Amino acid sequence: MYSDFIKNYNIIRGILRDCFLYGCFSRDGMEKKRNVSSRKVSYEIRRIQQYVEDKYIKFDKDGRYKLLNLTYDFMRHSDNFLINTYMTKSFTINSIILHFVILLYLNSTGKPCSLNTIENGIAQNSHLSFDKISSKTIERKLIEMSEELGLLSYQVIKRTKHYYIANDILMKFTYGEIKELLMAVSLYKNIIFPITAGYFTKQTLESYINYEQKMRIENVDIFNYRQVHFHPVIEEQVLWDILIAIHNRRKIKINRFSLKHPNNRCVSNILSPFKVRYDVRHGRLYLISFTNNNKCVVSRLDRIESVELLEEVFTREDFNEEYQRHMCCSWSSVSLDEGNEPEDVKLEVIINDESENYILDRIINEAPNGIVEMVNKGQYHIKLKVNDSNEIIPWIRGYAGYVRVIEGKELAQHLLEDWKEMLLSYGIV
Amino acid sequence: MELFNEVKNRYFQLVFKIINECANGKAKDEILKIIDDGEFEQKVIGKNNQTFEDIVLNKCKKDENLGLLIEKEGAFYPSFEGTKELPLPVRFTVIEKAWLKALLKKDGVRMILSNETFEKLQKELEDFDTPIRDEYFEMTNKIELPEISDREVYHKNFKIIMDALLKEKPIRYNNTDKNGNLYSNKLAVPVSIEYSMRDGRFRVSMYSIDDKRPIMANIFTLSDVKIVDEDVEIDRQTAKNILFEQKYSEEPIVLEVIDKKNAMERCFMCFSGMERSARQINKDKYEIQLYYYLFDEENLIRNIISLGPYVKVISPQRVVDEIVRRVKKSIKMYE
Repeated sequence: MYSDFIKNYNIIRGILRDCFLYGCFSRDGMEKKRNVSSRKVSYEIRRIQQYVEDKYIKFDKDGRYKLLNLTYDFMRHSDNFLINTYMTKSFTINSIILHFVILLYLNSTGKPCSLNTIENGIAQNSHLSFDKISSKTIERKLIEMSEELGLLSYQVIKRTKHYYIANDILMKFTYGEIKELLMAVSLYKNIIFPITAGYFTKQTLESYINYEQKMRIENVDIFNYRQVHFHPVIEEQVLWDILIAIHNRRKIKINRFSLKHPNNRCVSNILSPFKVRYDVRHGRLYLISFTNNNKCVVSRLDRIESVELLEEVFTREDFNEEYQRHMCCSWSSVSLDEGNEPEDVKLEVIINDESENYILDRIINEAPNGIVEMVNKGQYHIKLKVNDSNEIIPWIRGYAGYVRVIEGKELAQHLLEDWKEMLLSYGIV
Repeated sequence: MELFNEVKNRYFQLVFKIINECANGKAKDEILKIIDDGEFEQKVIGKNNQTFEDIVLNKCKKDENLGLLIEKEGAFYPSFEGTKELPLPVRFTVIEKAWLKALLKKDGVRMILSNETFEKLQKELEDFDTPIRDEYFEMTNKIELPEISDREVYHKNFKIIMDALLKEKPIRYNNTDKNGNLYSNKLAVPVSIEYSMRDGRFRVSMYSIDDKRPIMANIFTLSDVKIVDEDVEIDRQTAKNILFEQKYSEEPIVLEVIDKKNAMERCFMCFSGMERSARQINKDKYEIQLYYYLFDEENLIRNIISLGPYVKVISPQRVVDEIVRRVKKSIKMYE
């Protein structure tokens, strides 16, 4: 049903990222970048235009080319419009009919019913023909709606499952309490991963207020966010699968996109998934996992196509120390190579004017585990241990004019060369 | 349950809404309005050029219709005998319950939920197992601010400000700045509560009636906050518009990015929350125009410098000069 729906979210992940993050590619440019046919690019772009509200879609012109650009401003827009792309999974007409007919029937009877009763009940009470829907299909749907979705529950009576509408967890809540909950969900929907689940929860809660409580929904528009990136949502199907694996202590294999050839895939070794790291500044998600030989493997989620859950399980506690050893001195995602020790770095911070003391506070607050020593008034030394000093280069550069490296010769040289190259790029020799 | 699931398809949600709205009968026009508000712009949905309207209102062949509505005397009803006043119940899915349970673990949630609400939800979910747990995540590149000493005051202030925002009322407050200066009995219209993902702090964005300008304050540094019934010359929406208009840069910062060492990706990720336009100049060179809020200019300049030599500001000249000044100062520090 409907060619604009998709079976697998991966179909749009790549192009969504290209349109949203970059927004600088024409259809031709997209074809070259993604190494796919122009027909596929056209299909995918048309889908995205359907999914995303018009106000976020911008067409820039570059000569004769039109550039699709998805853009927003964090002050004006606090709703992550990319969530809409998760509301597009394809379905069959039988699937949607069965879903609603089962809910209608079980809600009208108000008591647990067996598969047989349900089958007869919907045949008698609905005006539908069930010639093409077998008992097996109805049973599969009941299992999906109870065990997978949680919309139904069941009890076993004489070895037969009897299904009923799942309990209403908000039944004992007053309207005021439900409004409080809506407020909390509205705030945290952009904060707790998976963000998509937060938006789904808000949607259900609003339906609940509307239909179960028969009250008007008041639009809660009092929260704003800083440094909340929208694009990590694109990786949340993979994130969810990883969380399930971590939680159930299940080993996994991951299928990665090839960097050079997006249509190629490679499969990882068997991994024990341990933790997800989120780089708040760039909005990047990483999986930290371990091989059977305890080698630490860091994988960017935007480069994982899918996760395969294996039957083999692991003991999480086995990796607590390993994780600490590999990642305690990592600023973002670089793990400590086997046999290596973290690098010692010493920075000097010079504050000439007291009104700029906030810079020192900021540096201290941003440097995890940094040890600060005041040398003289306005002169401070900060000692750091890092897995790889290359990882802190962007951070040091951000404090240009205030910070210099006094321990870590290669790092200092690297930064000095960067500064000179920057001046050169501005035409200053 | 997969996160990408058909029950969350917007057309599933639309059918759900239509059935419940039709509990007491709805005219065709009313249903068409619901469909029009909820469907995609592209109307054709089925294989034989059917529209969603055709499928819902049984205009197609028998086995192509949803058949979930039936028409009686000019109105549509759920096609199921014996439906209740609310034909379809509203229930949270497994993923939503998992997320709600994770919500209860957040410190800040106690500032919004009363003890009764918190405890009720906790009790309802006590046997529910969630894979969304803080121990499975680690946030990096964040800002670790000192602990807030008086959390009771912080929570109290948060609640009052949230209440003021919902009632669209001004507040009076005292504020102590980082140098210990006390500003007493200030009057302001709260515009929003702002959450920063990098430092995990809530701040309040307000329009100061005394200073006639938008301001931002730490919620924990405020004291004696109270909602007042005073007449002020400005409402929340106007204050918001002032913030958007007066504080927005008239001209964008134009960057040239050379795609070396992932500079392009890092650059676009860094600025993803800003209104922007971009184009490819040649194979490895891109131009980005960034529109920004003036109060954010210092952060923006630091971010641009942090991206290194492959990201260069083309205009405005004022920003170019500032970057060159800082870079020269950095080189001088090594001499």
